[in-house]
Amino acid sequence: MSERLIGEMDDLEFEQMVGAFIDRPASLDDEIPAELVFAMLDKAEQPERALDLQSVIVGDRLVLSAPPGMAVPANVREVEVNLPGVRVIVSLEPIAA
Amino acid sequence: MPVTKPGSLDVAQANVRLPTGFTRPHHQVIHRYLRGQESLSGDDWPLLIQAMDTLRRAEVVQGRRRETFAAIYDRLVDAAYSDSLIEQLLHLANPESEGESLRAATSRRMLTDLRTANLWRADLPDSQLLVAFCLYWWQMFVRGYAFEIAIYRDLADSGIAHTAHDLRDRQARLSSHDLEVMGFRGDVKTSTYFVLTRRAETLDHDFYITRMYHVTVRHWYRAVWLTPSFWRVLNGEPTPVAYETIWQVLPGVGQITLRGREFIVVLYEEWKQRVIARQTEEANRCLKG
Repeated sequence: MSERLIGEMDDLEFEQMVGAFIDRPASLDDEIPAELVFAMLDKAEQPERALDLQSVIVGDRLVLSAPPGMAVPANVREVEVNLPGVRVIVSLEPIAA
Repeated sequence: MPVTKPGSLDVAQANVRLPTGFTRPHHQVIHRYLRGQESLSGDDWPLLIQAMDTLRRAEVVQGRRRETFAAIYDRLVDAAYSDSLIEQLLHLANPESEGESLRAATSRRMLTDLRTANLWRADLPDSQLLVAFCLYWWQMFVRGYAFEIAIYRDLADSGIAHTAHDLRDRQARLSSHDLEVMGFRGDVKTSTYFVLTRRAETLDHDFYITRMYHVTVRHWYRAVWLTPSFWRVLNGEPTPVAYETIWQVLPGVGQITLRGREFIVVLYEEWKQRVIARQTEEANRCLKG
């Protein structure tokens, strides 16, 4: 039987779990060993891949598209653009039939 | 017509919107974290950090109104409790060990606040993630400032001249660096994970006072990572090593390269002794001059 996760537990069960968490003193050993941090550094130092999208305004709509030949990961549901003081979220909608 | 208190939610329409990229393994690792940190494996820690960073962008949505978990934390936890927590930590004889009871007491109040604001509700299951998010970041906050206070006390007790930002002042707490020693700017970090987070903003300081856990000997060491320019002032020859082999050099002095930047790694006590020696030399020179 698979274990129920946060967000799937009933309220009482979750409340008991967080109550125990709060009462349990954190120990110094809880934190990340330096060895692990070092082991992760190689991965962290790899540059992030950029996904270059093209945009065109069609009527009153901003249409984003990937350049020909570029595969967009199937799990992309939204695009976030961070500008000073504002976060723009572009949600991708399925094309109406 | 239903009345909604300012800052609380219209319970009929609220929803939690999780960010793209928040996956089932993130759910699972947060569950293990809450269940007991002894159930976290070494590989779980980076996943937990990633999960909690990702949840900063999660949102509670009510109609057209959205509020991120990060904004809710700032409003209901940080703004409400951080000043008083730091004031209390400053009055403790041993903030690192005694701070735990303060964390627990505030965490309980935080849960009540989330309930009162309708942000944690039985009919909004993913609101449990908001609870986990607040408990995690509050634990990091308390632990971080308890360590920082302990370091400042130790520097003062050791007779090291330094200036530190005023922890009682919220704006000062957010300053770009935590302290200055001999004109060099530094930060205090509870563990070396800082090199993995907020990558663009890190590693700009002259030194970092941190803690490093050595798995083999099961012991925490206080250490200082400093730039070659600071180290030159303190003298001594470091041994260049790859960062994963640093324990082969300590308690000697090692030199590592991270993202193209060189850092000298030295145990905290050794660094203090060298700073004290240098500051004493400077003081004697001034007296003679």
